[in-house]
Amino acid sequence: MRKQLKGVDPAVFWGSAALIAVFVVWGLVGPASLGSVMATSLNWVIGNFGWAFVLIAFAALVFCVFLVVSPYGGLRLGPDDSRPQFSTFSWVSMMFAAGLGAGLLFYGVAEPVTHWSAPPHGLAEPRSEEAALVALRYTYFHWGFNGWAMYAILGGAMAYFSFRRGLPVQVSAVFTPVLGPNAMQRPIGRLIDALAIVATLFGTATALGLNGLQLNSGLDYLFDVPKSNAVAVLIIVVVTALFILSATSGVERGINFLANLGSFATIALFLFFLVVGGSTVLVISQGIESIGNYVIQVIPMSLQTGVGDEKWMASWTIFYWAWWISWAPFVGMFVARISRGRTIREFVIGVVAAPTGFGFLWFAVTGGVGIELQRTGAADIVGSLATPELSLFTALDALPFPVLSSALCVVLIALFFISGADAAAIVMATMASRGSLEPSKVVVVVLGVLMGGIACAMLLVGGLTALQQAAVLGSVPFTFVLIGVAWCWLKAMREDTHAERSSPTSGERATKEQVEAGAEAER
Amino acid sequence: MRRRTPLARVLVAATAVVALAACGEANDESGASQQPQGAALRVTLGTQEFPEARVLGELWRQALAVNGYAVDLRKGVGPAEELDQELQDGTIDGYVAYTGTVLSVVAGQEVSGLDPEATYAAAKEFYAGQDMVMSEMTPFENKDAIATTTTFAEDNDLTGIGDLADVGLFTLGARAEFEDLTLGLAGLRDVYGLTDVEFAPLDLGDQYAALDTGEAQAVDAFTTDPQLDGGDYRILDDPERLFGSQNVVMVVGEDDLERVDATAFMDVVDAVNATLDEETMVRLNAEVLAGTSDETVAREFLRSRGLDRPLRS
Repeated sequence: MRKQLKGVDPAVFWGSAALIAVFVVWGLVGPASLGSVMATSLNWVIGNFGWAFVLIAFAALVFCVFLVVSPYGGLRLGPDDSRPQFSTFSWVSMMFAAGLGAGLLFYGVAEPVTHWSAPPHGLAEPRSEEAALVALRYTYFHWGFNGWAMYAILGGAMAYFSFRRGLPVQVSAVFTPVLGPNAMQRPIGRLIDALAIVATLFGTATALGLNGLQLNSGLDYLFDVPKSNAVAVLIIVVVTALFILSATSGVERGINFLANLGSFATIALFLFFLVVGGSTVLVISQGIESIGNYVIQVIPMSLQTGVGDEKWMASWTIFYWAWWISWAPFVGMFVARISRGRTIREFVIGVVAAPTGFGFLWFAVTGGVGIELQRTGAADIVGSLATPELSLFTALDALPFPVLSSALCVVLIALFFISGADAAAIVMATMASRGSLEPSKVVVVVLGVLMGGIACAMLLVGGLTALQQAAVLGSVPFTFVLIGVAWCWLKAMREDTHAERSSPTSGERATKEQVEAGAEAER
Repeated sequence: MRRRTPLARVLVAATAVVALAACGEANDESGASQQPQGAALRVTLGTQEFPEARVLGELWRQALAVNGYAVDLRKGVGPAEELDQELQDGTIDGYVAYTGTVLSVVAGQEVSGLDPEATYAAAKEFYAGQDMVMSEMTPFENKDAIATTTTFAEDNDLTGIGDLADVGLFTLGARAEFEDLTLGLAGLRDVYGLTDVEFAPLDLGDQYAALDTGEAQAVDAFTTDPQLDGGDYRILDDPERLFGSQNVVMVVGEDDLERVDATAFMDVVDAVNATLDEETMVRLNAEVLAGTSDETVAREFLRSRGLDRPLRS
C-alpha cells in the first residue's frame, strides 16, 4: 500500500478529495439546490465578466503568435538534443481525441445549423446563403484557435518546466520563477494543483455521464435500446472498465492506439459526408470561403464583446471560453505529457493549428451538409436541435446507408469517450502524484473508478448539469492561473535565452540545478 | 494495494446499489450536453395548420432568429387543446394563441360579451395560474362574424346581426358544427333572436362562393378572411359581442422565458405583434391564399417594417 501510494502528495490528494466530496454530497442530497446555486453563480460570472473572458481568449492567441515568431520559438521542450517521442500523426490524433473528439461528432451538425437559422449579431439574413458562411465561421471560432491557444499556453509551460527544467509535470511547477524552487510545496502551489484536479474530475465525470446518455440516445435511435438510467449507467460501467484497462496499459499503448483508430474512423466519416452528402461542390466551395473568412477575421472576431447582444454572447462565445479554460488543466497537461522533445514553435503551431485545422474541415463538411439537408427539407435538423446528440443521426438518416454510418458513429463516440476518460484518469493521477509521469496504476484505477462512480451517482440524482456548471465555474480561478503561467513562462524563457547567449554552458548548469531541486522536491 | 482495493469495491458496490434503486427511471438530462451549447437561446413553438396561424408562427420565428434565437417552429399542431397539452407536457415552449379560444376552449370560461382587453386580462390570469406567460396582444382579432353581400345588406338596411331578425326567412351558411354551438347559430338565436333561419352546412372556405351564388344570404366568416378584402361583402356588427374577442398572443412557459432572457425575447414578440392590425393581417392572408409561401410572406412583411434587423435595447 505504502509503496503503491508513495508518489501521492497527501495534501493535494486529500484536499481535492474533500472538495470533491463536498460537491458530490451536496449534489446527492440536494441536486436542485446545487443546480440553482451553480446556474446563478455561472450566470453572474458570465454576465459581469464576459469582457474578461473575451480579453483573455484574445490575449492567449496573441501570445501564441508571439511565441511562434519570436526567437523563443526555437527552444526545445526538453534538453536541446531531445527529439519527439510520438509521430506527428499520433501526436495530433491524441490531442484531437482528448480535446475535441466526441464534441465534434455531437455538434458538427448541430452548431452550424443553429447559427444558420439564427445568425449571431444579426450578421446575415437567417437561413440565407450568407448565413451559412457566417454560421460556419462562428462555429470555427468557438472551436478554433482561441481555445487551443489557451491549452497551448498551459501545456507548453508545463512541458517547458518539466522537460527542460526537470521539474515535475504540475501546474504549480510553472510558478517556480515567482514562488521559488519549492513552489509545489507552498500552500498556494498545492491549492492550484488541487483545483486542477477538481476541475478535471468534474469536467470529465460530467462528460462521462452525459456521454453515457448520448450513447444511450444513439443506441436507442439505432437499435431501439430503451432510454433509461439503468442503460446509461450500464454503459458508463462498461466504458469505465474499458478505459481503466486502456489506462493501465500506459499512455504509449492505450491512448495512442485508440486515438489513431479514432482519427482514421473520423476521416472515413468525413469522406462519407463529403462524397455521399449530395452537395460536394457546394460544400467544398463554402468550406474554402468560410475557412478563409475565419482566418482573416479571427482577430476582429476575438475582440467582439457583443454590446447590445449580451444574451447571445453569454450563451455562446463567453460560455465557450469559460468551458475551454475549465478544460485547460486537463488538456494542457495531457498535451504537455506527449510533447517532450518538440520545439516551442513546433509545439504551438501543432497545438493551435493542427487539431483545429482538422476540426474546421470537419465542421465545413458536416455543417455544410447539415445546412443543405435542412434547406432542401431532406431532414429536419432544426427540429432535433433540442437534443443535439441526435442531430448527427438525423442528418445521417437522410443520407445513404444510414444504419452503417450511424453504427460507425456510435463506435467512434465510444472510442473518443474511452480515450478521453483514459487520458483524464492518467492526468489526474499525475496531478495527485507530485507530477510523476508514471503514476502508480493503483492511483489511476482509484481515480478512474471515482470518476465513473461520480458520473453514475450524479446521473441518477439528476445533478450532472449542476456538476458541469461547477466545473465551468472553475474557469474563474484558472483565468488568473493562466495569466500567471504566461508571465512565468515568458520570464523563464528570457532567462534561458539570456543565459545561453552569455555563456554556452551556464544554461546547461541552470538546468542541472533545477533537476536537482526537482529531485529534492520529489523526495 | 490490499487496503485500497476494498475501497474501490465499496465505491462500485455503492454505485450499483444506487443504480438498482433508480432502475427504470427515464433519464431527464438528455438535453444536457458535454460541450457548451447556446441551449439557452433555443425555443420550440407550435402553431395550427391554417394559413394565418402559419404566417404568425413564421413572423415570430424569423424576427426571433434575427435576434439570435434558434426557433424550431412546428406547424400544423392543433387544435388549441392539443397545443395547450403540448405546452403543458413541455413538447413545445410556446404557441400561437387566440385569446378568446384560450378562455373558452382551454380555460372553459364564458367569452361572450367580453371586449378584447377583458378577454386578454382573463386569459392572461388563467395562464398565469399555470406558470405561463402571455405576450402583448395583436391589434387585429380574428373571430367569427356574420357576413352578407353588400347588396343584400343595403337592400335590407342591415348594420348589425340583430337586423337579420327582421328580414324574414333566410339561409345561413357555415361549417356543420356551427348549427349547435353557443358561439354559433344556437347563440345567434338566443342573443339576437334569429329564429327564422334555414341552416346550410358548408365546407370551410366555401362561404363566399355560397354568398355569390345566392345559396346563402348570410354566412359565418372570419374577420381576417382575405376574401373580405377583394369582394363585395359586409360584416355585420356584433354589439352584444356574442363571438367574444380573438386577438393573438404568444403563450410561453415561464421557465422557458426565464431561460431565454424574458425581456429581450418578449420585446421581439411584442414588436411583431404591434404591427399586425386587421388590414395588415387580411393582406398577409390574401398573399398566402394567392399562393406565396407563408415563409416568404412573413419575410417580406418583416423587411418592410424594419424587423429584419436586430432590435437593440
